[in-house]
Amino acid sequence: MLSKPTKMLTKVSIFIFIAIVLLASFKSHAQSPKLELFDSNGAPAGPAIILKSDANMTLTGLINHVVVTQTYQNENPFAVNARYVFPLPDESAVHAMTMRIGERVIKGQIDKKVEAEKKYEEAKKAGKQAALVRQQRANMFITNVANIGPGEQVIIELEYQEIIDYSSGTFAIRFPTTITPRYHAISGEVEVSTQNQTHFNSLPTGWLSPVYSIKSSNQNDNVPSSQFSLNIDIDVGLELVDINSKFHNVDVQNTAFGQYKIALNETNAVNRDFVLEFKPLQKEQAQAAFFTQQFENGDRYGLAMLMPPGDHFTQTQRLPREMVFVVDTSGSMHGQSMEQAKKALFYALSLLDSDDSFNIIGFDNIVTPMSDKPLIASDFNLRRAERFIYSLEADGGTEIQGALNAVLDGSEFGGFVRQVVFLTDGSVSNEDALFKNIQSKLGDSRLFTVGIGSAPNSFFMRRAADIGKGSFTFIGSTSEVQPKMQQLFDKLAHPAITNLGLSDESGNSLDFWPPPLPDLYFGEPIMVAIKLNNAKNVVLAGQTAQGPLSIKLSTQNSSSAQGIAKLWARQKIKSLLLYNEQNTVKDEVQELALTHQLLSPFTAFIAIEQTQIKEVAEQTAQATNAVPQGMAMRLPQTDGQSRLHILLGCILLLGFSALKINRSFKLSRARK
Amino acid sequence: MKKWLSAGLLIAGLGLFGHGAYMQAKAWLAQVLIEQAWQEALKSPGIKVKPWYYADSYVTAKLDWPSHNKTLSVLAGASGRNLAFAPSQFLPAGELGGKEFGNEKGSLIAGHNDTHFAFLQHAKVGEAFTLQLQSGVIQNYKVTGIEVIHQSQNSFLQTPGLYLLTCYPFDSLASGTDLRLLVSAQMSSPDSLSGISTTSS
Repeated sequence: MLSKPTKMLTKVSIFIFIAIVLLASFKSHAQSPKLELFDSNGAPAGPAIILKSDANMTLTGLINHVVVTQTYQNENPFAVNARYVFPLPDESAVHAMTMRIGERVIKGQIDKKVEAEKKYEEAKKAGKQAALVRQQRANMFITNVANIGPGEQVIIELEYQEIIDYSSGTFAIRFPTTITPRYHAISGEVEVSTQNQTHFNSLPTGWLSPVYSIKSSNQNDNVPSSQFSLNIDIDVGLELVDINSKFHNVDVQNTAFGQYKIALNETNAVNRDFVLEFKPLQKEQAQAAFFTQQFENGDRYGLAMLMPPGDHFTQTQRLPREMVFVVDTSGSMHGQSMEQAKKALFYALSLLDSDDSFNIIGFDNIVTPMSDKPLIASDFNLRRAERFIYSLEADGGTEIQGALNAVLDGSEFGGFVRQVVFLTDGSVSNEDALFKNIQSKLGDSRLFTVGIGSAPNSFFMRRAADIGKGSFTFIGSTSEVQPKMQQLFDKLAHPAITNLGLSDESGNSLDFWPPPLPDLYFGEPIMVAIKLNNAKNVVLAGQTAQGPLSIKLSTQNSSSAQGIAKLWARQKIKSLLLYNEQNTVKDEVQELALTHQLLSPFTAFIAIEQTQIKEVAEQTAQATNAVPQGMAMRLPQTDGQSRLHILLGCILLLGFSALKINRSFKLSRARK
Repeated sequence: MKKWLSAGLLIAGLGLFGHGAYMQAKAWLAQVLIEQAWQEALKSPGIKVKPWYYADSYVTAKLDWPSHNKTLSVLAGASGRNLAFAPSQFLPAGELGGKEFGNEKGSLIAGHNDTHFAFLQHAKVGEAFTLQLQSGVIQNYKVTGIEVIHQSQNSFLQTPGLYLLTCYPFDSLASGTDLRLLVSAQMSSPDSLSGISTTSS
């Protein structure tokens, strides 16, 4: 009866199938009814606010002018106050705010932060509609909107300008859409729950309680909790090639020569930073640019971009290097970020020369060096390093301080170049203290930061690299590791142009920011905002490995552009805050910010609707950000399949013995 | 044809069975070694005792759950490697010991749902268990809640208490689930210990 093997096979597979189905259905049936999914806080959900966010960028020359529109829609049957913590690009100079309620348009006024806060509180208590925008840190802002009536919509428009990135022949625009949750080094806490922040007066002072929604990651498939759209108008007067959005789908339209319209073509795009890169068709045309802005009172500001000729970098004798790789292995790096970091490290090792020496240091809340002393890049040591990298695991908090202490001690090095490559997502909150520390301990070393993950804290890393006289590289996905690390190593391998300075033709120093200009690496342009008095020419002087470098730029044949004064002021504020104690420069920064209508740590935009008195809202709704893509602080993965494997193994073995028995049965019959 | 089929069945069957049995055996054997290390650790609190010389973790506590007849030693660091050997303490969360030790955050112990923490599927609210710290202190806990959460929901760690965590559902056919079974426990007063131990046995 059971003579055909096919028949046998069918029977065995049917048996296995039934067994699996029975097992699965029985198990799930037996367990599911007694458990329910609910919020682990057990708290009822707070008042909700629907937030829509749009960004419209207009790119002219090197300046990107952006209007961010935030629409707050109150879906509750009662009035609420709204609060939204949101990121903007690192160097953005926010210079205007407008509140729209229906037909009414209220222009925001810049004021001292304390004053603005006071006005806002008063308006809020009086039942007036008001909006307050403050800068929490250089790349993070807070909007507060008071008394949004039931079913009402309030629109807040913010305008900012930034200089776009230009490096190795490629322009890049970056727009952050979410915030990496920060590790609080001061208390070592994981995160403060956003649920606790529903009251205005619980705002953190100085230390940041970041906001990210857990809900949105679960609901991603259905309704994104915040909607986002982005449009870019590019008018650079150059023919562009390779317009390329790194992590999002975009539509590109070429409307006229040198003009492009780009629109985000994705509904759920808020969990990772937006990056758009493009290249001019002919690289030579992008080698120098000069824009000026003339004011009626005689003030003149200039923005210069200059790409030093490539031959200043090549053909130089190469000094041996000591490379120290510092890699963040904290819990926030878990997952994709850690994989990217490891891949970057492996690739970096493969680029070392045999006369280089190196060391690898992993850190979370403890520092784990691979070796006490730097090692020669021999085959043996490289293999040892590879094993060390394999064993790294992301766990624990980010105590960057300890890692910095381990690599920077302020010493000078003769005969070789010491380069520190720092790979991290930069989830730290005590940035200012860290910058001071780097500045005081840098010595002769150079600090290069590599940002890892889908939403790294690039503000921290960019500034750390500024102070560390190195450069910042952003790796957004695993496929980018190789080209980006290659670029970085090209920079590392070629000596920089140092001691850069600007003066007019008679040698008088100009008021330019940032001073001193950072060292310039291969493929990087100088980007500097200058206050030009009556200078006709600007002379850039620097020191290369072959000798002094001097380049003259004429201010006469520059094109005029808007907003350069604001960029100059923004750079000056940044530099003042970066290299000084906050208290000592507070007045100067405040003055600058008020004159140039800029948001700064000491100024805020306030808009108050005076005419209408509304119901006073009693609750504050927190608009939330999406969890960064690939973001960790995952709870441990603990599902084992050993029981299933044993069961399946047994079934297969049963099938095997059934076959055997069948065969011996047949054999014995055949013998008969 | 038949020969290939039977050989294939044999190899696959042995492979799967072997792998499953190996995981179970590893989980069980390691507990024996870790238990020895725990006895060592109790003698010298303050020293991090490794269960075997090349281990990259150390023993931190011992769980005793009489109603399920479970005694488990706990390792530090909830990495995949440690979890194969023992339930492990999730280090980014709070220290073990709870409020008495000035700890305002919840502490979390995770374990595999097919070995050490498989018994959690039968745990009930109100059950009592003890946690022994390396200082020798034995703390009494009572289960206050059992819930299923998504792996990204970690806000419960803001509330002090001891949390036991394992993947959910149990005996799932697919791996890599995003759901977790969370057993919350709060410290109960020490004098209730005698009462509980009699009722639970």
